Amino acid sequence: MKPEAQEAIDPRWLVTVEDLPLIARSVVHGFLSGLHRSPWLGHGSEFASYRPYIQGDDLRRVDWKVWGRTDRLFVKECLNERNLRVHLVLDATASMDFGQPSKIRYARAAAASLAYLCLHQNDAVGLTCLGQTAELLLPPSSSNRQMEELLLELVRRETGGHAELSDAEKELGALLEKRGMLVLLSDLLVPAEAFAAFLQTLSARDQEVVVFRILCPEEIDLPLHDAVLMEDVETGAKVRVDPDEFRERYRSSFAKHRSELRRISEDFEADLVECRTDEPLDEILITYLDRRWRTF
Amino acid sequence: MGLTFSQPWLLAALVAVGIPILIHLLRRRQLTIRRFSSVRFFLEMDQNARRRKRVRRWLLLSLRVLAIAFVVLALAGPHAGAGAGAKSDERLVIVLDQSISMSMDHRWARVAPILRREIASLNANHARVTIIGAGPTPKLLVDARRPSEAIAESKGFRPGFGTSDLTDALRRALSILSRYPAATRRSLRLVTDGQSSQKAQLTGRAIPRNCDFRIQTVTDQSARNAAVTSLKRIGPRQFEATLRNLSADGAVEGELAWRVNGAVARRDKLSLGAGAIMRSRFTLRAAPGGSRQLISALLQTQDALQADNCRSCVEDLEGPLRVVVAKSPAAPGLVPTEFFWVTALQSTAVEMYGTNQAKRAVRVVPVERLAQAIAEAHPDVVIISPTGEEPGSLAGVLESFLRAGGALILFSGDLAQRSLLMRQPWVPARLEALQDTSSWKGDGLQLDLSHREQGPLSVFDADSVRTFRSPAFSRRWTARLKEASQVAVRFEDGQPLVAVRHFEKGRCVWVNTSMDAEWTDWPRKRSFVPWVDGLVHFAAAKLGRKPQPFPSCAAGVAVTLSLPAAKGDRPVTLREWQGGKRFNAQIRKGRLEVPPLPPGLYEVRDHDERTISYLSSYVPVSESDPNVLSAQELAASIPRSPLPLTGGNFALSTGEHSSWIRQGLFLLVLGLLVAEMCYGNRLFA
Repeated sequence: MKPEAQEAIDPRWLVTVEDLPLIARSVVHGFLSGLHRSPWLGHGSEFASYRPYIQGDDLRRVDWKVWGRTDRLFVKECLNERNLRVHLVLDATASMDFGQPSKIRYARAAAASLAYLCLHQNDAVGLTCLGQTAELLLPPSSSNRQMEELLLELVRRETGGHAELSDAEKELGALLEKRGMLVLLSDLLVPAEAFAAFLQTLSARDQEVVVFRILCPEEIDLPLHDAVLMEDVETGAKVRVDPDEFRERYRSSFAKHRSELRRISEDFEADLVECRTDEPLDEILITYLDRRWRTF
Repeated sequence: MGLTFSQPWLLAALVAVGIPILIHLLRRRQLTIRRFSSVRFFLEMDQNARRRKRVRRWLLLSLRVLAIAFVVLALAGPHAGAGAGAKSDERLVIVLDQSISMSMDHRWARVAPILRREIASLNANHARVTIIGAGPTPKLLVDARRPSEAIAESKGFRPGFGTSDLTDALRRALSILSRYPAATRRSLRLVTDGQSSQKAQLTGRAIPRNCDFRIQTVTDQSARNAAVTSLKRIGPRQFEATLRNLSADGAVEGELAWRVNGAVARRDKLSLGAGAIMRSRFTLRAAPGGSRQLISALLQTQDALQADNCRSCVEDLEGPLRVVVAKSPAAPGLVPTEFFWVTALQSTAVEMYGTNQAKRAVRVVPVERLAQAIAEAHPDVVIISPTGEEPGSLAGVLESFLRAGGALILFSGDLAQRSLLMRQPWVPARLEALQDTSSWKGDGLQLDLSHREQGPLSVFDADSVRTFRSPAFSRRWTARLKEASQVAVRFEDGQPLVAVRHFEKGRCVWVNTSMDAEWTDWPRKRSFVPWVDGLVHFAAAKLGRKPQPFPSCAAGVAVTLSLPAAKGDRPVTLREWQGGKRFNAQIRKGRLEVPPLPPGLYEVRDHDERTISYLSSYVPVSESDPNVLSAQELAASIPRSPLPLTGGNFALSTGEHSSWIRQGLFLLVLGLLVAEMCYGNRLFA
């Protein structure tokens, strides 16, 4: 692993999560064999059904035991296991460059971990970044070089701009025509309506969505005391804030927004994983993947 | 309606209104910019709240600016109304003496006409009258009212029970006058009875030269003016009153009433010529030392001023027993250095025997100065050990002392037989021979303790001192008791140790021992001090009667007194002794809270109408001054200040000084406080 790539990901995390499979809840379209169910029947280890033999079928798939009992030819069909197409969408807007450590650093690490995990189980991983605009950096692929290229893109990518979630959906475009998984790594400091519209579009296109919402403690607790002039890093808007006076209402508003995001996620059957930058990433990933494995 | 200012130069201070604005602007600039991931939550927050906050900030700023502006305007002395500050305006402040002396005779009846006359003399259309009641503290009776209103309100005035502080009242009056514009005609009147004791008060306050000041006295200078000018104690139970007729002409016929605790004990008819001075003496019959009695002398005449004819004496009989001990080089045992019982007698060491009913005031004097000490200290008890070295005149002094009701204790040492004192008729026994009893028994001669419940040994009869053991005596006098003498304590063989004999109103107690260790081992025992204490109490107290101390206070003043009989918290009633007046009072933590009372003797009764103590309220000395001065004499004693009376000094208590400014300022300050409290902002924060 190149040094710059090491900045984006801690190898210890990969060791921790590599034994945990990322299982897609829905069926996926893919070309390579993997852990995920496919809508096509064919080769595989999991039995699906029998059908009468027709001319042209591979004789190796004829179940001769059934022929012996019934004197009729039946072909055994199994569920075909396919690989998963995972789209990592990294929010690299200006708001992600906030906190200590910054949210973008945390998001890069999470993206790298997930990419490593997917590639480890022969899934195809792509990367799209939200900055000034949405930009497809790497199409999904499960090649051997995909991991290295993905890490380099993660490191090179600077924060800035304030692209919308809908831009990512437009950028991915045709790539979303096939079923797959979209993993969004963002702070989701957007209106709940925009998030709902984003999920609705993806749901209509048979995409399973996992959202890692990354926040820093300063955003949640507002641990300031002196009156300051708050400047929005994305829009440049300024507002006079007396934290002691605003704190309770801020927390209340923040909590309300958070509950709305949760509700929207549940409505569209998307996973919403909340991460604090002061919490270890490996624990969050292990907890989430373990829970997902159990509920599969 | 015009608005003028007494001190317009103060308006320059209005630039101070820029201070809060400056602070506001500076604080806005000092805000630090902090980059934040998203301010959408702050922006999404209740926009109304943000608007309210902005409004509130501006409101606070406005309030602060207005507060400073109002204070500056107020200090500049604004005057609203037509002709504000015009010379046609007139302000009159009357200081009315409300001391208890004003209630005597017909003095108060003369107050109303004087007030009416003074107020009616105001000519200005916008005249205002302020009346200050001069009591222990000045009280604003009428606050800048129109003349007609002031006259109507003055009908309800009453004199007080206490003293008056004219200095403080005049200071208050001048302070009020100084708030009016200098152009206004300002007058000050003092209405008083002109007691000469007020002269000292009046000299302490200079009146500015531009203030129209006059004194009106309510005393009739032509009236007969006789009074009791002093009352003092001249003996253990003897009192002397001095009466003077201060009238310029004419004799005073009347009656002097001596009262004990309010009850008339003796009446003397008398006639005092013009300018005459007369003394009258009174002897208290049965008052044990240490008790407290209210003695008063009241001169009752047909036309003398009642205020000046009563004197009370309550202090002279209060306090502890007074004991004078005569020491002599020939009788060292009486005041031995190794056991200074005199000190112990005054200390709380006696309390361990439960005998310290009241502390004793003990004074030790050389025997040659005993006569002088008796004259000065008026003791209740004299202790002496005769040695024959006493001055020859001492016997006569002691006889007078006994006749006046004093108690004499005689110890008899080795030299007692040589003393002339032991041959006096009032001594209970005649000494015969010295008897050495050291070989009487192994431990010496003991006391007969079978009848110790009475007499000096009664102090050892308490349950706590059942273990009292008799001291041993090794020497004594054989003596022959005189007629009418009684033995109070005996030796175990029946011979007297203590004998007592009444002489006139007093009693002489003879003790058949000395305090020397050669006579007895008692001084080395812990029971010795209680024994002497019991002896003193036995000699001084009338059998079957115990001292009843009670507190006293000056009339007309609310005070809190220590009341030994009071415990806990409870309401009580002060009932005038042999009178119908009742006053409610309160006992808190053993202390009696007394309201202002008229002079007299009061019973302190609890809710069961049970008398738990007495309380005397006396006329202050300053109010009993019989000498009255004319208005001219009083005025001559008041200095006139060369400095003029200032004008326009603002104060919130000013009467009709632009009331809207006062109310506005009050509401403004109130609003500012509420705003600061509600919004949690510090002033100028």
